[in-house]
Amino acid sequence: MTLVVLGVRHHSPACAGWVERTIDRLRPGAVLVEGPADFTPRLPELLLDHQPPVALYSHHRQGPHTHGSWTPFCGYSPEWRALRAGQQTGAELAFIDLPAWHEAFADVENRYRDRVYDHAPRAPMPWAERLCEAFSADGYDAVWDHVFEQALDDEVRAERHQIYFRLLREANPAEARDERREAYMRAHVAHALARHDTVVVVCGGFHQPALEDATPSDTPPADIVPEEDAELGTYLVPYTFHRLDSFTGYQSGMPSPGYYQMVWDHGPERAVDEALARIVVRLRDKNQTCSTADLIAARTLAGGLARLRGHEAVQRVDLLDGLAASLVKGALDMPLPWTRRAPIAAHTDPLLVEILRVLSGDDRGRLHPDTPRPPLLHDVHAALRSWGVAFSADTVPVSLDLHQAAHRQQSAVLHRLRLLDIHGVVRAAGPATVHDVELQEHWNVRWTLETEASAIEAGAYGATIEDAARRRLSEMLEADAPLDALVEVLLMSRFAGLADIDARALAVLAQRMQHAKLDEVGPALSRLLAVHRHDARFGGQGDPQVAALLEALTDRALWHADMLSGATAGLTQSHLDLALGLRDVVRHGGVADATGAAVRATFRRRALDADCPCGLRGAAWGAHISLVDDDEDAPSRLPGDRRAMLQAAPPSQLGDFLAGLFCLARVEIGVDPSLVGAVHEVLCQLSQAEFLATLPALRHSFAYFPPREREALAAVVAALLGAEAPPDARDLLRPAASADELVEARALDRAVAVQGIDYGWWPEESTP
Amino acid sequence: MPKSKSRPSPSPDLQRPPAEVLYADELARLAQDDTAAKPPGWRLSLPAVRAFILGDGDRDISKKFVGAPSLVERAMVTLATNRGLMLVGEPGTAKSLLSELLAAAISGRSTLTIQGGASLIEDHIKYSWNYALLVAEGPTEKALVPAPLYTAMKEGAIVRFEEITRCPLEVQDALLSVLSDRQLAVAELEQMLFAKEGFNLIATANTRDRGVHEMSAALKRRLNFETIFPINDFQVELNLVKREATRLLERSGVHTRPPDEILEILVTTFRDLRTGVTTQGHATERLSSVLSTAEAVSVAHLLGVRSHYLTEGKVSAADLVECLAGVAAKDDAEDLKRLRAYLERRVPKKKGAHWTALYEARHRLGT
Repeated sequence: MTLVVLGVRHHSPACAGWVERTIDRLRPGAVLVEGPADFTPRLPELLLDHQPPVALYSHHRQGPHTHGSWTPFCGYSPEWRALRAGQQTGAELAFIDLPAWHEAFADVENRYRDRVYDHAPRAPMPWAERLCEAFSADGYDAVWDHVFEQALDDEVRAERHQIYFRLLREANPAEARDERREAYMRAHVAHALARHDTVVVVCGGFHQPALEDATPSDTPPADIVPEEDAELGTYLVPYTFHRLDSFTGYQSGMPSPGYYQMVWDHGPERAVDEALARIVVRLRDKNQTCSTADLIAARTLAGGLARLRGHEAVQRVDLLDGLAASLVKGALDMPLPWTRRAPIAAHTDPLLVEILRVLSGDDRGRLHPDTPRPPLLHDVHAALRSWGVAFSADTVPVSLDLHQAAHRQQSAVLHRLRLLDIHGVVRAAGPATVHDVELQEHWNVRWTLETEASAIEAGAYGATIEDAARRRLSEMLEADAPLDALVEVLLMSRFAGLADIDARALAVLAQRMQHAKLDEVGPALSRLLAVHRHDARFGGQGDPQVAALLEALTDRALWHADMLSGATAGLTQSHLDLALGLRDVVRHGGVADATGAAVRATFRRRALDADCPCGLRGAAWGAHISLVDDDEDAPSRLPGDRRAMLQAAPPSQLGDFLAGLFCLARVEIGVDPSLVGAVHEVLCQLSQAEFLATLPALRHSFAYFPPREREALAAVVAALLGAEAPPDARDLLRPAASADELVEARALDRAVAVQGIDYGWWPEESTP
Repeated sequence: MPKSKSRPSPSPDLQRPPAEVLYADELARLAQDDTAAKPPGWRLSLPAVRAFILGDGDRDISKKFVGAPSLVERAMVTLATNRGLMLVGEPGTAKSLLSELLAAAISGRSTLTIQGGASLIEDHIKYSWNYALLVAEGPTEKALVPAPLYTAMKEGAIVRFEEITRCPLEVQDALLSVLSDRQLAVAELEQMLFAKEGFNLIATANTRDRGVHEMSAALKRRLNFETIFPINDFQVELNLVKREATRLLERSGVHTRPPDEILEILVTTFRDLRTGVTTQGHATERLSSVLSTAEAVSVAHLLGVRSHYLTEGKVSAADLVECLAGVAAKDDAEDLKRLRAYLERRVPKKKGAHWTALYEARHRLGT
């Protein structure tokens, strides 16, 4: 009786080779692999001629609780190679771990995650730190590569694995859930030992110590039966390297799958050249300079580092270090991203981000045509049929009235399909936001071959349309996209009935908002606030998640409001949007009281700040005036003397100042003769040139008044000039010319412009 | 970062002996045991250089530089190739120390140093003339006064160029042909000086000086850049601040140091404002003023002295706010705004009586 337990690191090409060689050599009676035991009867599906990466997707729904998890395989996964090698030597194959629905897998998204990062809270592991120090390695990934990802004698490898994983287990003891899994795996091993002379077990190295001393037993492992009302299933889905590399934190596995695929395919030496070639293509595509000399330098450095570090062949960190040293031409804002295990931080050098993307790879798996279809496909078919759509028939229009609950449900399904990029689902017309008054939607739905293909591909996200769309949504929200695009996704998700986004995506989004640019903040704030206030139909009103995002955005907006400087900096729409967004969010109670107080304080401070851009200063004053009614703290009010406030602004910036002021507080100020008088005084002091310079901004500022108020203003101005107020002040506002004359003047303007363009005086886009 | 471990100096009358003198014994032992292959012109092999800088407990070699080992490795390998090394980073991150250690280990001398500055001219880099001899004998080798670059090329050694971005561009560009062709024309003698094996250049520059004199793309191409970051580990930095502050305070005749809670707040605040992320994971605006560990030490020193001589040994959060304002106002008026925003909106999210006190003292910044 021989029991060989191969404790591996998941997704390690070196381990995959070791496993393959061992099975070829021993030709065992049984090959047992860590994987969901309930899938064993369906192993032939997994052994079809797929193109990896593929994954087993397991879903589980019980009452309100749903959970989905993946067991991903690449071409170089030890488990994948073990099953294939076992098949070739005619061994009995089995998965021996608990099914994915078992409570031992609650919260686990990636069955093949790395135990070394499964250490919460992140207490240091002295032995691992010492390993890093001894091998001068930044992080455990580099240590692993240094010790294991090189050509080793199999016996040496086995011994090193044993020591490494024993240490890992001592530092990171097995929890109750691990013990349950290991007990179950042991039962499988024991039963196999009773029936076969030689048994090879391939499992995560962490479990190796618990399985090695299994003894033969005739009792088969106890059946694990799900509860009766549970809805569950496991299916093969095509997978991508991108998704494999995007597990973060304690769900993560080995990084850079694209690179290790090259190592598996071509060997470590050629992998380096292959990777370099791809990196150059990518960088040059992105218009980055990457000269031949740079490449020679990178290759030389990588080789030199490998020799210095005692690597037989260049390894991932050597290559990355070589590239960083030779290609980066300036100071970095953030440490090299491969020196720690975390999502790529903001401000990381974009060159390094691109390099890592290349190593991450963009391979997409493909399933063999005989594979049973993922469950999502059936769900999509059912949905299509429910609208009377048939395969390769004509487009079916679907019209929905979102005021009706039943229609809203149908619309949600269509929106989810759209999120999943299911081909043939097109929204022809519909409201732009959930709080639109008009809530009619029109869709065109078709069912084609591409629909099938896209649904199979989307199967990697989940088993049902809802689960898959939810996960896809989280992915979209975590993507590195402009803020307005993210807000758009967020708002559209309410149509899809997926408003409660998961906590991680929410955190990522809030983080993104903390870095929002000046021109992004104001509009995003207004859009979110509108949902928070008005979305009665889709439940956005008072939604705590929206409130959390509002809080994050307000915080960022405050940074901008505080930081803008330079009294003569011109007024831009983003200044006004910023002030409006901040004012409204406080006025309508979108944020916590403390934040509101900070906003008020900022407005007060900036209204008095001589270094504040005048437009923003006026806006801050306006915001203060329009908020002051609610403000009980009377002493903190700004001085009521509007004349003094006005005179504090430089005369040449008067127009900007007033535009800001009226944009925020036109209603509150109304027609204030004393203010008009003050404006008049300032204007009288301006020279002709100054007056002309400030005129456009002045016109802009008074454009905030509707005609009736402008009439009242005209009366005040007439009085100021000592002219007799005309019986109808609106006459002053009427153009002196007749409509015909205006049309004629406009035609003349156009003719002049055309000639000007002909002669090349003006650029072409200046056509009136 | 600790500048160097204090050891009995071999020449007690020197204020600060260079690394090759201070650690002569270690260098000699390393050279003796060195069996690995050495790059041409190097005194030590790469593993021995690494051991010299990062320490080796088994051979009683002290650790002289706290930082990522991979950085030291990249730096060494760069120097063994035909590109120069450029160390960049915030002030006070031990760039010059690393450059000195590398030069001492590789060439056995760290004193071939050019100190960059606005008044630097090419003569200070390459060579100049003894004018009396020049007039008497005409241009001869005897009349030539070599500058560090010349000597380094002639002898095959590492030349150090400190604060390179403080030099005018045309002076920086004098390095171009030296770095690419490894030769220097001495037109007056109608001679070429060809660099011996072992010659290379380590430049340092401060990230705060970006824009003082940008570097030309041509020079950048000939250098590999390495960024040195401030100390990553909170505890390591806090301990260093405590130790150094105590040392400075004792020198000022103060035998107590500010309470640990205050120092913790000080170091946390520095780290938050330096990295732009608070310990709670919230983003904050980074200060452009220098927030090095050395600066934190000097604030701790200041707090200690103030409390000892002015407030009967009490250090309050308000004192800390005032010191922070002093640090922030040094460089950039915008920094005061950033600091205010940090105190107003980030500090209240932190838990603890001292943080609350800090928040309440925020008005000390003024408006």
